[in-house]
Amino acid sequence: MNCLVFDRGKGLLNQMKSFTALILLGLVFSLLSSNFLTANNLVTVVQQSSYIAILAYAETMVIITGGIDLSLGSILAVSGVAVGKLILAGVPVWAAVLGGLFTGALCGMVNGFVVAKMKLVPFIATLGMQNIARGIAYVLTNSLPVSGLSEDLYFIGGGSVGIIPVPVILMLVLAVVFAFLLNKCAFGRRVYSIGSSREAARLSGIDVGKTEMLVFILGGLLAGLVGVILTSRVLSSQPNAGIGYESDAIAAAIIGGTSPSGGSGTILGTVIGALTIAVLKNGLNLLKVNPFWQQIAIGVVIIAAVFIDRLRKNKK
Amino acid sequence: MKKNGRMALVLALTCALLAGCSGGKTQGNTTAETAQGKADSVQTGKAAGEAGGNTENVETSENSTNTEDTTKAEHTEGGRTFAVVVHSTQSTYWQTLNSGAEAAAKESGDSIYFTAPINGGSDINGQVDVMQNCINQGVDGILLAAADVDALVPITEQAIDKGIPVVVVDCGLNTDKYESSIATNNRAAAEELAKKVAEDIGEEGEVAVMNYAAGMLTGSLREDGFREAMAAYPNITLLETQYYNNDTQKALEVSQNLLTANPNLKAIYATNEFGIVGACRALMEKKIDTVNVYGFDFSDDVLPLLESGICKGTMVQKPYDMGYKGVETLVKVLAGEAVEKDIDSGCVVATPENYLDEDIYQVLYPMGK
Repeated sequence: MNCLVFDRGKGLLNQMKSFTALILLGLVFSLLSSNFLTANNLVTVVQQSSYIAILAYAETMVIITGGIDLSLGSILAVSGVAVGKLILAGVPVWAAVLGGLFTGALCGMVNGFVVAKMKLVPFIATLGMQNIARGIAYVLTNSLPVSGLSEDLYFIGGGSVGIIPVPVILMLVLAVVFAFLLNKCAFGRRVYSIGSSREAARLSGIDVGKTEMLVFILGGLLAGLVGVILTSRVLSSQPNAGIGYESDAIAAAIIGGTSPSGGSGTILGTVIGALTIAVLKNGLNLLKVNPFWQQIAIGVVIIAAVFIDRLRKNKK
Repeated sequence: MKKNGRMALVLALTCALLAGCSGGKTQGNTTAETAQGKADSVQTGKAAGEAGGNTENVETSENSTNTEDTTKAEHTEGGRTFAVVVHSTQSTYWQTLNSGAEAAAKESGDSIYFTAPINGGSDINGQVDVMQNCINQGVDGILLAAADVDALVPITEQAIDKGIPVVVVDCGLNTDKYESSIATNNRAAAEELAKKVAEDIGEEGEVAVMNYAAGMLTGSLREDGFREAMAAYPNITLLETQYYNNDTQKALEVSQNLLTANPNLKAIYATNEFGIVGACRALMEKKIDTVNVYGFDFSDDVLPLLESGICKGTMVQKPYDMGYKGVETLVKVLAGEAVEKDIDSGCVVATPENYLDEDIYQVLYPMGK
């Protein structure tokens, strides 16, 4: 699977480093807690990482282009609400799911428009969308959950194929898809170019606006998918779902080696980053550590990861 | 010139966006307001003229010097405005409380201004801001569910000193100046629920405790009451409290980890409905049926869990009654009548066995379903 491993911007070495760190973390926890290394828990950990991972693919792309997306949590909420409302209106489940994905993509498209056409920086554009999408979710639902959804929806979020939960399958499939997009397609080349140097990319004939637009649409689509998954899991659309999830997604991307200054990052690294966060949270939980220490731990890991990245850059 | 024009437009739009965002924060989320444009009935002059016990209907358009009088046309004929200030407008519980308040207000011909800090019940400063707004708007009375029973005291006393009667609901307030307090005795209710849990699991085993947030009075009372009552059962072990931030998904994750770390778990106790839903869904995902789930509060999401029997009991408060009695009390106060200082609004345990009984169902769905 060359495309996953050999990528632009970072070497195999760095992913090995992140992966080693993850394994070490896992070893530490398995020594400290007898419940960590059980099949049941490992499956749970991977499942818990899947939502953040999928959102993190979106963040990875945006951060590579030199931007950031603060609206993913809100987009996932409004997409979940769309699914719920459609199902209650009698639309068949598969169509409602598509409706949710479409809602996400639409929000992403608005982000893309604000960035590419109105020329606002992604931070501001997505900050605005973060509020707008969340507000729309609350307005549509009068701030109450949309309950009583059909059991047919349950499979996407709560079902399994054998022992593997469906969200995990989605996470893995999407990892391959997006790694392919970033490494083997012209689109991916353009994304990295824009991140390395926007001006150079523009001068070499790349349609920066169009690429950015696509990046945000894909991001919205992924957030929409997570919204569908989370809604499916509890068979209820929560307008307050996903608050702060984009922070975890950004952390996952950064810990996985995506450079905050843009131009480099990989899907594989992001998957490792998402797993690292999930392992941290899960391990500390099993060890009955005060849950607030988890937050501190994640913050420390983010800073450490970026610092190491900075050191590596300085060495060059 | 064209370029500058475009820049100006972008800047203006951004400013408008930011202004819109920040302007909204202190006002709180008012999506549940009835369509009478209550926010328009804002005359700062009114409060001054209202010094406690004024029984006249408040048509002050002649007295007020406020230039916002032009909005008076939408003001309910002869009606007063009562503010209902809660933790968050985004929950069934508070919205039910508001419905009770609106029902009572309708009877007396008044209107309700339903509001809360936009960041929820843990945003104590936000609620203080909201109270300040109500004072500035000169509402005729306030129903307050304090986010913190100490931090909200100064602003509440300020409102009372300005002649706005205050009735506290849901969790009290550490001052004596309010007219009346209508609340659930959370501690006693938690003790009662603990006894049921102990009985159900045969008075032995491990029980997990999940709280919706740290440092919130209601959550603390529900947890402390539970722990104290459980202390009487030497064979029951309570695990360290886990928090889920009022997020159903987080409650689900936390429950998953609890189940992994404690394979002999007999029961999970959650301090509000988001925890109940999260815990039950985690059990359903793993197809575990050996663990009972108990907790507080109710929502549409909890109904299927009672139906399937996976939630063995939830302590349901009577927010509708709280809201109704609260406004009723305000009306009485303004009419110069005497009112009771402390009212226990009561609560009941809804179980899979009794939730369809008429009296229980009435508490679950006071507005009918």
